[in-house]
Amino acid sequence: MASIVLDRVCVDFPIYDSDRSLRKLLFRSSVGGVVRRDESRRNRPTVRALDELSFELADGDRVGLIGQNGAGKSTLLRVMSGAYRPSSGSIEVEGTVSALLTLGIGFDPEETGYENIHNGCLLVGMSPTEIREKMDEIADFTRLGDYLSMPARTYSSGMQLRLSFSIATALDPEILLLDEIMAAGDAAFITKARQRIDNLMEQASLLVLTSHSSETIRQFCNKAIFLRSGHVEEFGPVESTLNAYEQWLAAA
Amino acid sequence: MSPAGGALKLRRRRAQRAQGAVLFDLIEGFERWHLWRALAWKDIRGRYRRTVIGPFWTALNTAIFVAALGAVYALVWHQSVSAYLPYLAAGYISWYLFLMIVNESGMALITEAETVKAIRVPYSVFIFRVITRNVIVFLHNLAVYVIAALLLQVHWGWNLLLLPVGLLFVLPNFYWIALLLATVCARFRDIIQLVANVTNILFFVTPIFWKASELKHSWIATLLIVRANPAYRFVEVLRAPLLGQAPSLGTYYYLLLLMVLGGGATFLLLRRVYGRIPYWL
Repeated sequence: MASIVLDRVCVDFPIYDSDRSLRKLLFRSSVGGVVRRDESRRNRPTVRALDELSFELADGDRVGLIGQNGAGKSTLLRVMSGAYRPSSGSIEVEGTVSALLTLGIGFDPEETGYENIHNGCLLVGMSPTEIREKMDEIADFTRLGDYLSMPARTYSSGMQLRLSFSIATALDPEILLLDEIMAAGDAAFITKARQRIDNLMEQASLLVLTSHSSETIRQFCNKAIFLRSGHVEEFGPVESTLNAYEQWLAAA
Repeated sequence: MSPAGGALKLRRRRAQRAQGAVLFDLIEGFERWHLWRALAWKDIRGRYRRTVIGPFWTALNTAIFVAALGAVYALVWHQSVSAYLPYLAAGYISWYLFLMIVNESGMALITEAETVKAIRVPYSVFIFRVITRNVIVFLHNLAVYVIAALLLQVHWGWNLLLLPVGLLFVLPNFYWIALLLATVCARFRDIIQLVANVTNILFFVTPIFWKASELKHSWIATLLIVRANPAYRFVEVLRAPLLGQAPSLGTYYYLLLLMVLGGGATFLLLRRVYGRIPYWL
């Protein structure tokens, strides 16, 4: 059983390196978030990235997050992964989570592919025994062959994606979070990734991904959430939500 | 572990996390020793990549520094080199452990900002990593010290066994100091510079290349820069066993008290700000 339940989740980013002129800013900007002052924190400017989000996701949901830059898509994934705690409201996540939000995490360009797999697996919480068992499978899935013995600085971003994706999905997570990273993959990899996700979804599973490509959303998802300025504008089947988003884009 | 068992464990953990995030961070962080041990060794590998003698470079630097300073100050203070050099060497490698952990812990979370903001991982993992990599460096220094001490015929006796005891007293203190600095420096970046400044001065103020007994004539100086000085206690509790002496009981009491007070204060602070840390990075 995997599920994610959000109850009036708010996320405010305090801005610490701001100068006085930024403090005076109190406006609804043309890009996503809302800049405001937090009265409880000595009028420090904050950016409200998520504004009273409430919704439930359950087994079998493959959700695409859409919205313009700064709408709160990545922040929402970071709250779901457990990295950020909501400023207010609550989130309940049930199931093992694997989050692939930036390609860089746990990645050392000077280390070899194998060493990076090892450390990456430890970082996502695998034991050395599990790593030993899964190493061949992970290495095989990357299709990087002899490159795995080379320092990772020789990798292209697509190759790095293969490595990170293999690690993130190695544990058979019940919840998989992906942030706008599939763009770096080539067609062959996208097909493999699609298969891998399909396999994961056969067991109790939940997928949330962001993308600016309607194509990717259609390919991977069965539901979509249209985020605007940190709140849910539309939540439903992929096509109707994409339509709502495109209409809003055309009107804006 | 079955997936269901895993989920159950995760649920239990989330409940615990809500109650005592800080303690839970420490426990779960410690449990993931495979991770921080691997990260510590990765740091060591990275620092000495493509060098021939690796971490022994630090030991070599220490050896050269200590030999040069030892030769000069033995002359200045009319002491025999074989008496002064072990004192300086033992003190310096103990000091170096303290220095590097204090100086490096300010960056412990800042350098891992990407990770901390993307996945849920106990922050203590990165604290243990800083401590571990510097203990590894300390052990390399120690190896060189042991060779030098054998050559200079230092009489260890049973007191050498107090060295691991000393580590037992300093390591928990390092934990709260590093966690406190990592947290505070994430929010106030100036503290990193300030800490470097203070430790710079501490090296000269603390009895490391001079002896505490030289301050005998001034009780107030003895109180301030020997007895009350945490750097002195951290150094003394390791240095004395390395010289075959027993640290004073007061040093153990001091470190124990520091552990309770410092650890307690850090816990209270962390309990307030724990959830804010990723927003500062």
